[in-house]
Amino acid sequence: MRNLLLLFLCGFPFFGFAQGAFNIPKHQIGISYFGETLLHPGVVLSYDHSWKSFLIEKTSKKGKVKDKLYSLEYGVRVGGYNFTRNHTGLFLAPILTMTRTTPKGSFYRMGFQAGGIAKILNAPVFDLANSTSSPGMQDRYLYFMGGFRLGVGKDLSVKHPKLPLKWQLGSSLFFTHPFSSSQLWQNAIELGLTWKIG
Amino acid sequence: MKYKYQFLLLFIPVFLSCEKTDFELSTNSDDFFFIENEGAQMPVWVQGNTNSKKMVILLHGGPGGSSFIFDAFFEAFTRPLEDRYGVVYWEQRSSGTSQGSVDPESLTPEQFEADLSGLLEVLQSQYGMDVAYYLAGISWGGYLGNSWLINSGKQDQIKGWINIVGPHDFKAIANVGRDKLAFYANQQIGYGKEVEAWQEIQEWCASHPTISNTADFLKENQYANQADILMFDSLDMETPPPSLAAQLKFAFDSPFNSNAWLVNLKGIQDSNLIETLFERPLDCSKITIPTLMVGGYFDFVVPAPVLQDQFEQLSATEKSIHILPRSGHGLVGHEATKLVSLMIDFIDF
Repeated sequence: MRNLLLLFLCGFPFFGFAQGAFNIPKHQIGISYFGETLLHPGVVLSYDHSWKSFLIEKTSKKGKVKDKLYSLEYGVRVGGYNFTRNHTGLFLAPILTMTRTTPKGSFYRMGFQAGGIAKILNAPVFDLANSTSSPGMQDRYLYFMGGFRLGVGKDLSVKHPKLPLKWQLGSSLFFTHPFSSSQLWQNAIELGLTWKIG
Repeated sequence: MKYKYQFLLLFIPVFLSCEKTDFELSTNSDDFFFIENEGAQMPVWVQGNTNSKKMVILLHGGPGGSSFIFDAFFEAFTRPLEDRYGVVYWEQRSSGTSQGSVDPESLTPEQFEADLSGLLEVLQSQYGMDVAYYLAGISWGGYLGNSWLINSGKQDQIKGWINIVGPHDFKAIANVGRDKLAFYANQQIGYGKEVEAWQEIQEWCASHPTISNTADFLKENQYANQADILMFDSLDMETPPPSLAAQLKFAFDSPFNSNAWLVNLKGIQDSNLIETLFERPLDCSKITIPTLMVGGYFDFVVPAPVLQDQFEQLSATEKSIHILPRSGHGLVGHEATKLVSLMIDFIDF
């Protein structure tokens, strides 16, 4: 019975406020390539504010302690991409992100974003209701945008304390609504850097 | 200080350039624009020799298909046309890579016709009234062309009408197609060819002697398209299947958006368009302009006898019909050279 309890305790994660080996920045700003369907190029700028973080200590059967830092961040993303002869998308979306970081600096993150996207048709638009002889100015359309962001990366400051940088690779899966008579799902690949501030 | 913000003037041409149109007649046009109507933003791509002052407006199939697919994958059909004429690739509402928030209620034949009228007006304003405009409809595009010519009151603005496997009566194509399927199912089973697939078709035809609702029509249509593939040995395949590289280029490096196409197709499926079309036969006796009709002998979707019936209705004094012997419903890919030759003869002479 005592062994069972020990086993249980070994496997039980201990929660605590994040400290120690983890350098938690208050603010982070980032810039990433934003490739809608990979090849439609764009850029996204992001700001994240650290909201909550907690450390989970997990002890393996061999008695090895493994720390994982979970942090909750809120922020905003502003970006755009160009889909030639289709549209240019400009978006602004608040985002809530959960990041899991190891002591070595590797992390993965999941986020939920919701905001707005303006799609600008990047060719002349003839509005048949107004004029068929000259293109009109009604070529910007606003849509609701929502979706997920997944990513992995590495905190370079763990190895190089004077380098407050992270690189990350991820994907944004988002929908724009309305489209046709429902919504359009889009995917973007992101690769970029984040600066840790404060 | 007076000139402090004058540098901003430098940016004005950049913004204005977004709205600029300079669609000039050329031997190698590559003009791209959108038409917007009732919530839909529909891309239009004008390519080829507009300098010829002859333009072919391509009406794609479906409903819900794409004209950009012809441009990307059916070069044997499109390139000879582009060498001689301007070719207008128009993505219809809720079709292909068109955009916008489209009310399913707007997916009516009348709305598609209104869009086509608008497209013609834009082309006339941009390229001139002295350009000879031809309509070329493929499958559903053939029905749309027929319907537009009958109802728009503008057929005098079209120099000629090319109907490629386009129906005028959906109930007729369903029932004649069903009979044709039943005939070939018996024949092919007798030959021992693709027995399992043909037996399924045979059984379905036996249990559906008459097609009177859209659910059965859609099933018959599915079998008819399948028969096109089953009769592969009887068809010419001038257009080879697209290479992976071509498909990837089309998916990732063209104005086409595959996701948008799927959503658009769903919009068509969720609408009442098919139900409407099934109960909306056209009276083609109101078509008076020169007309070329082309069908495929092995077309189970729009069988030749229905095209022949449509042909006989036409009031045009200049009209001809050609049933290509080694083509099915996809004759644009099957006997492209013959088709193009017929089109060129029709347009030039």
